[in-house]
Amino acid sequence: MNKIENISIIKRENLDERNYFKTLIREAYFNQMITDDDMLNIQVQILQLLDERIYRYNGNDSSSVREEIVKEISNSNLYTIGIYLKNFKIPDEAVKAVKENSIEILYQEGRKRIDKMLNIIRVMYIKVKQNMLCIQNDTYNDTIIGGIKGFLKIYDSDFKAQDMKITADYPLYNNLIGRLDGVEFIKEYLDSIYLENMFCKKFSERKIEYLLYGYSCNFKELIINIFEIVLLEAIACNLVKRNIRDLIISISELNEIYNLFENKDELEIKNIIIKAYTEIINELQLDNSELMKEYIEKNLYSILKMIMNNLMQNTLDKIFIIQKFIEE
Amino acid sequence: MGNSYLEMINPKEKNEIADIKKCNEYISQYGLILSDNQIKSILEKRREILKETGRIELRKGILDKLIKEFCDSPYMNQENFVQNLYELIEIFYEYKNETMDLLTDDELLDFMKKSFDETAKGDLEYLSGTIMYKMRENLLKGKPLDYNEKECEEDE
Repeated sequence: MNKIENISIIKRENLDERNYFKTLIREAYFNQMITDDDMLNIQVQILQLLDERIYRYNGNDSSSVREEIVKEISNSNLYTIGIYLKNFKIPDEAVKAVKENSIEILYQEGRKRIDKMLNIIRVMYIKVKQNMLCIQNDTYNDTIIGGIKGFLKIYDSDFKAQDMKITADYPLYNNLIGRLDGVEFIKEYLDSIYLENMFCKKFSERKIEYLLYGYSCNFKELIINIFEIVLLEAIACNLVKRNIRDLIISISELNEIYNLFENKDELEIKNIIIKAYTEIINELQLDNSELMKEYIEKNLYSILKMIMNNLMQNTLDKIFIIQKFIEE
Repeated sequence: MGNSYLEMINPKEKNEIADIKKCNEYISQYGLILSDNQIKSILEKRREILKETGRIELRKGILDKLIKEFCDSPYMNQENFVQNLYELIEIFYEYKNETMDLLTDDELLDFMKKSFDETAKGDLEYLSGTIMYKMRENLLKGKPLDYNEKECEEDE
């Protein structure tokens, strides 16, 4: 089979997700894909777009504007162009689009893409609210109910497209802070929380609350990720061959885990954990099991680190919650 | 970000000199005139003030509007005109910031002119230090710009 692979001169991993357009142009210039004249032309067009957008912002009411507003609008423009250019799976194709189209067109295409994303976000928000867990945790409930709604209310794709002024205090298993901005952040946040809820919904909410109580009797006020606690406990149950839906282990079962990990190196423990969560995903019969696997693997490194650290310090009971706490 | 970025794409200064020169026709009826050097120094002063106040001016600036607004004041004469303009430009941009751009250019200019003539009687220090400060307070409290508590109490 002749498979023609698309080889890109610019590597996607060299591009900054939060400054996509800037880093794409920089890489294109370093790789001599654009000339000095192209660069100048792009810069002039960016300034023309900025001038036009600031004028639209101010209207005829004011002849001047604060510098910070100019910076904000400039960042918004570049973010919007970046959103469009990310559509091209191969960065070289995105460079081609920059060379073949005016900055104004790239910006308008970005705006269309943001509008589409906002529609998807609105639908996703409804779905997330529908599959929310009925768990008494303030940050979880406040973020899903108030935070996302607030974002949709105040998001300004005209002049602050990169902004994400949102009370997204509920931490995700897959931490997004500092990795994405604007609509991209919210979309990823909603997709992630939806997946986390889907997983947790396979367990009894009463048992999740017991588990969280075992984690801390103040779990209602704590800023914790429920999915991670549930996942770790399900792994613990799997390791001791207990019904994963019990979502709790005894002290003797915790000792079994210590024994299981004894004299094993990080790689061996990693393989044990991978086997455990793969079995859990299969057992839970999730509709999107592949997606779930990918999601867990996004943060596998920190899960493993957490296990290894607690193993070394003999504090595995901090992450694999044992029954005695609940009985107290 | 430099203040000159828009100048790259807008040959603004040349247009502004021409616009201000045109003002001379209008202000001459009040016995005032601006020489080419004075126009240049006003533009330079404006540039400095924009930098100090962290603002960027777009396309058509405020200068010709300001000149036309104040030229008919009884407190303006050929001797103090340019110096007064410097200070008025400074007050204008400072209070664009202080009022968080809640006032349009025209609203701010109207208020400044009325206060300069009627309350400050040409005293720019009083205008900037007292009247404008009070106006900002009134604006942020949702009161009329020229609201005066003492006068209102006396009226009652």
